[in-house]
Amino acid sequence: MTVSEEPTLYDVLEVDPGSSHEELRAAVERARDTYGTESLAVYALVDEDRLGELRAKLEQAAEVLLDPARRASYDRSIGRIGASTLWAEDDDDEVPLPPVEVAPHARRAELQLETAPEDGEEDALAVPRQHALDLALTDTPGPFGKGPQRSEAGTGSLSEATASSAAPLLSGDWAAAVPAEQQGPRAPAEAVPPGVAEAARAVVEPEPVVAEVPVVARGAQEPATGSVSTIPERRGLPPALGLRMKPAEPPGEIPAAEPPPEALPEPGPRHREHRLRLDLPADAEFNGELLRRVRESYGLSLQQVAERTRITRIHLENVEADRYDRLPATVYLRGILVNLARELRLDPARVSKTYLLAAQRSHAGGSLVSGRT
Amino acid sequence: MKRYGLNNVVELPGRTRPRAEDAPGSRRARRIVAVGGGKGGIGKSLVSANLGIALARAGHRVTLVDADLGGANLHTCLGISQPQGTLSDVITHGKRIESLAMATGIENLTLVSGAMDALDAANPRAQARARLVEQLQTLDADYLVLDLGAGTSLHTIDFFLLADHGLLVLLPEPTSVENAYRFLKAALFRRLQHTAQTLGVAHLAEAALGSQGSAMRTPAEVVKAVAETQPEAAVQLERSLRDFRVKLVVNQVRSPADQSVGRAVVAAWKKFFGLDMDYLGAIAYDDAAWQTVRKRRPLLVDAAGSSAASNLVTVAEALVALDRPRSAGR
Repeated sequence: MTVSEEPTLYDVLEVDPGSSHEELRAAVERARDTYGTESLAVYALVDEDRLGELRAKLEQAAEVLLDPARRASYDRSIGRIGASTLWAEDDDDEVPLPPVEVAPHARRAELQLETAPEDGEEDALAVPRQHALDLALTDTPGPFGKGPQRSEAGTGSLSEATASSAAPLLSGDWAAAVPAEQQGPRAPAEAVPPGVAEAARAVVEPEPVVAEVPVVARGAQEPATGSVSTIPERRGLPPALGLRMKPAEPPGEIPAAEPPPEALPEPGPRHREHRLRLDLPADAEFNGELLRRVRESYGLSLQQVAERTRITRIHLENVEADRYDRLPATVYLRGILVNLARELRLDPARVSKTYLLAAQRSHAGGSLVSGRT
Repeated sequence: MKRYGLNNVVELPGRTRPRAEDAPGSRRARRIVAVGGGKGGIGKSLVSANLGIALARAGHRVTLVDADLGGANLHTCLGISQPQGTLSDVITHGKRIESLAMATGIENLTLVSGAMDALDAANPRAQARARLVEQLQTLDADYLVLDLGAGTSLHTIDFFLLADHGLLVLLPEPTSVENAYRFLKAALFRRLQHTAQTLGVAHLAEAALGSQGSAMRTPAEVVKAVAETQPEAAVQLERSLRDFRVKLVVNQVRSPADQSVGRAVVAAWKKFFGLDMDYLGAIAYDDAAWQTVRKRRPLLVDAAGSSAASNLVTVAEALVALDRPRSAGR
């Protein structure tokens, strides 16, 4: 049996992809009734983590599918790619994966080797690129775009359940991050009418980029940015990373009707303008140097990251410089790393694990636990 | 969750006896229905008794068996004060169950009481349990309705697993829901362990189960773990687990919100454990229910016009509907 299939957003809500808006709305209501905090039906059924993951995922599905524009975009993303899940999978690495999910990275890497050469401008790439763009432009989270082949409704089963519970779930980030403010000098998205924010961005953020692939459809709902038709590529990145950038995105979204479950982490990445494609190996070992390079690839200053993550700048500097002896105790350091990883769209578990390991190795059980702040 | 060592698993009754529809010579389509729910006081006996009555009135030959070995009172629900012979006679004296079936005053319905006085009768040894199971499986009736006790003791779980229909009763209350899930998980994993042992992959299943500490693994995760080295066994294991298809009844429903609990439980169980559950319906909270219990008269006899009574009839019909040919080929 296959347990690796990732469900679509429709699978998450257990609705047919052809459902009307009203049907979707009803499904969302039903899901909230069934899996919400007030629901008896999930009492003592599974542990809170698993439940929290599901709730976050449901909210995410609701956000995308109840917004006609985003839904249309999402539909394109799952409908256009036919049997190939290449690009949907490619998006995987934009969401921090739970620790067990190393495989998707590796799988994606293979696929890329086959069909997606580095940042070339081949025509063949235009279509899949377009798909990736759709997702990015509409702020649709990556991992849900996978696979048009949903498991047959109703008959479904063990594998379906795994997909929805055990398979890589949304790491919280998304649901929390969507309504968050935009990057830099702009005001929080909620406070700014979309049009204004859009205009502001156009003025404020000239991209130091090279045009890469022409973009066609941005959807009628976004006339203001319809002319932004390049995939920005930042120069001078460490070649080993093979970084690719994604273009700007529309301004903030309407917040979810319900507050995200408390299991959700702190604000996620808010710099949607620079969406990073990391071709890091699945077994990448994160040290300060690598984290710095990732940060710089986003064009983020230490100060910006510090403001967003609420990690003090000193800590960030020490993390990037691998000054383990000046970092706080492991328990705090892990929190810092996880936050930082989220901000940088890395797998938090991977980052904290490898970084802490390196710290321990260098220290041989030294002052990591001594708790300096 | 209660976990059982593999050493205890040997005597789980398999469905070795051919199904009635498979055996050309058989004239019966016999079904065993086990009514459980983990918690006490949730109406298992009330559901069992009235389900039995509803089935009997629909023309089926029904035997009610009080399998609540430590706390039997199904006979009281039916207005029978002191049963002469009980299951303890099967367990301790080797009697046949048929000889113990009592008339209930309702056509087509007999009762085998479980009331016992012997101190150890509530916890029969494995051998006695196996004998009991064997007799239950060959008892002559259209429907055998087992009223299970509370808790997750081995014999309770095994009765639940041997049934064609494991019927789970729960109240829309956290305590009941919690116990019901614990009961279900215990049953599911006993089944898993037993099947895994039969297939010779017990060590794999055990490893998969144990690798997450006390947290529950989903069936799919266990199957997947087994599939890594034993793909064929994994297929059979999955099939066996999928057969674990519980029937749900929500009792004492008072509000519209309570009404939705049944469907929600079915959805949540499916979502997290990947298994189907059949929702048979809700039973309204009804003063008639406790009043008839006090009178020691079955609800369907004494208050047939009550809403709870009509709900119970609906539940019985839903259960019978599952046995129609359409769903026979599981």
